[in-house]
Amino acid sequence: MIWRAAALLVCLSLAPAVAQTPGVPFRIAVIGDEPPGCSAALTATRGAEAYTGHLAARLKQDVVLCAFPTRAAVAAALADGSVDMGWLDPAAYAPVANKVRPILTGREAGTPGRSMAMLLVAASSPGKDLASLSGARVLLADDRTVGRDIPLQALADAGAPTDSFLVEAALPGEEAAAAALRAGRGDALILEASAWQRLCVGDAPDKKPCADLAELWRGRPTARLAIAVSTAMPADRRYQLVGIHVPLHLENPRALAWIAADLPGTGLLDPTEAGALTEKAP
Amino acid sequence: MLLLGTALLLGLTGCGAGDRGGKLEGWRKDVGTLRMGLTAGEENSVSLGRWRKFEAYLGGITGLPTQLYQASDYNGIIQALASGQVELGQMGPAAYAGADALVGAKVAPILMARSNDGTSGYYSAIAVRADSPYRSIADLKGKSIGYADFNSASGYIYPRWKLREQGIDPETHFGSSGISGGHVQGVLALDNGQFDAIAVVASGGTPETGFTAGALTQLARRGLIKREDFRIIWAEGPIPNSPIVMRTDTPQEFQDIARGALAALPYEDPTTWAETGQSPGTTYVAVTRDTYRDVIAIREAEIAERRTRPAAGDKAP
Repeated sequence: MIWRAAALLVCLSLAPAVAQTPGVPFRIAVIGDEPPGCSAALTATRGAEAYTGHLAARLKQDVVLCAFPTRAAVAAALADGSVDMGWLDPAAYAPVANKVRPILTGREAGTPGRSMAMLLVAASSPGKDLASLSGARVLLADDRTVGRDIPLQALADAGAPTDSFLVEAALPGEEAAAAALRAGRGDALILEASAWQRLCVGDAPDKKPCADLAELWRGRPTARLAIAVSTAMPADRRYQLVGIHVPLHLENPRALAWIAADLPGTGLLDPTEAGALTEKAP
Repeated sequence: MLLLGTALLLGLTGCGAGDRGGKLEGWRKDVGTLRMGLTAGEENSVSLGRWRKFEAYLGGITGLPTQLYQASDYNGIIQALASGQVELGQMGPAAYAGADALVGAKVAPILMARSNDGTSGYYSAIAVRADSPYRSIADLKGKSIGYADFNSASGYIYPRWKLREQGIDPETHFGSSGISGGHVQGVLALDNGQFDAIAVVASGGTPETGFTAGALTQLARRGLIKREDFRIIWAEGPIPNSPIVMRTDTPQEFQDIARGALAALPYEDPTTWAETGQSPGTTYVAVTRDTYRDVIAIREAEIAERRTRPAAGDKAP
């Protein structure tokens, strides 16, 4: 395996290329004021040696940084194959959603990240969608971030009228909160997924503890930033990138630190679903 | 074949070899077949049949013929991984410690499950029949206890270590002990009166919230027992969740792609993920040997303590 670092002191053409073609470097988009284009010099000026070196060794391919002025430009480059990987936000992602997909998001160590939540209503409730929850009295079972802030954000991202929700302090646990919902002291109940599991998954084949409740929604918050690649990237390469990045904080903290500069709050990287950057219309 | 007992071969997928006209190249040729051993995890007992889609998922991404095996006991998966008969293994933490003791850095934990609320551990519980008079460990003085397996963290090593920490010598406190052969077997043995108490896995919660997974709950959900017929009188932990363990002498490309495929599964295919017994919102996180250093040390301490005991024939009746 040979990579010719010195030979990369050129601005590479931004014409589309297949990342795995021998001799073609793996191109990572970065945003900045540098002249647009790919340059080996960017690795040094950006302090990215730890990261690009780690990735190059694992991909068995040269890795080069490519400067772009905006995330929208990065998105366009991912879509037309000019770069292989870059960081996008939902706004930049939207116009290229049919050609690009997120693969990784950052999370602070020890935090829930983009945890999953569910919203339940009484089965007899007339409301059948999130829009029907305008002005709803929303019950919580948990005042922690995972039980309150993250689910509310996820619901807002999904288009729920969360600004109109009447939300009080959390009840002491999912059983108490479900009892309140059943007693009519609330219109909807938000549960993080572990609490939902405890409440709604019975311990006998015929036990359906939430049979009198209806799940109106389940989901995760939209990612604020995500590492994205072209949908044309071969699947094994995409999963290889995930497999390299998920343990990066353990294997090469300096490399992860470089990524964290572009993904604030990143202590480690998680995989993500294809729709993570998609903002749902209300 | 060192997988003891019955090894259930699920068969080849149509991926990989078929896509390449049956010819593997590069690192795929070096690996040949992806063989993964399962003990269905300490904290997640799911029958092997529900792993079919998982097998297809893994094979489709890696491009390798993929075979899953379920070892009949913990030692089966330890030996299979240590000897290189499988490239991947899902095993309990103490079983990984056993493999680590055998072959050191030739095996490494790569991923473990993390619950939606951010917790990543499970518990060892001592359970009794609900119609028994036993409500504390003190009540079990002179009674019989069943352990799951010598290589089980929650079912043997951890409760014995924790009881000693609490000033109770499991060798002298209980009147007798036995090995049931597994967590499911232990629950069934307790149900039919073979033991007064068992050490068993409890997961999907804490002693404060209650447990939504583990052997008692899983068997109850299958209708084999009634959960209310059993009572947990002691629970300690958390023990780090069961790792996916990989042979480190496999090609790096294989390691990265397999780890990526596994880590992405909860997001890419939540249905298949759920069929492996995982709860909604649960994901995988990266781990290293350091994650299991306490379990490794506890296992070593148990082995050292076992060596100091007199042989069974020397004990006074």
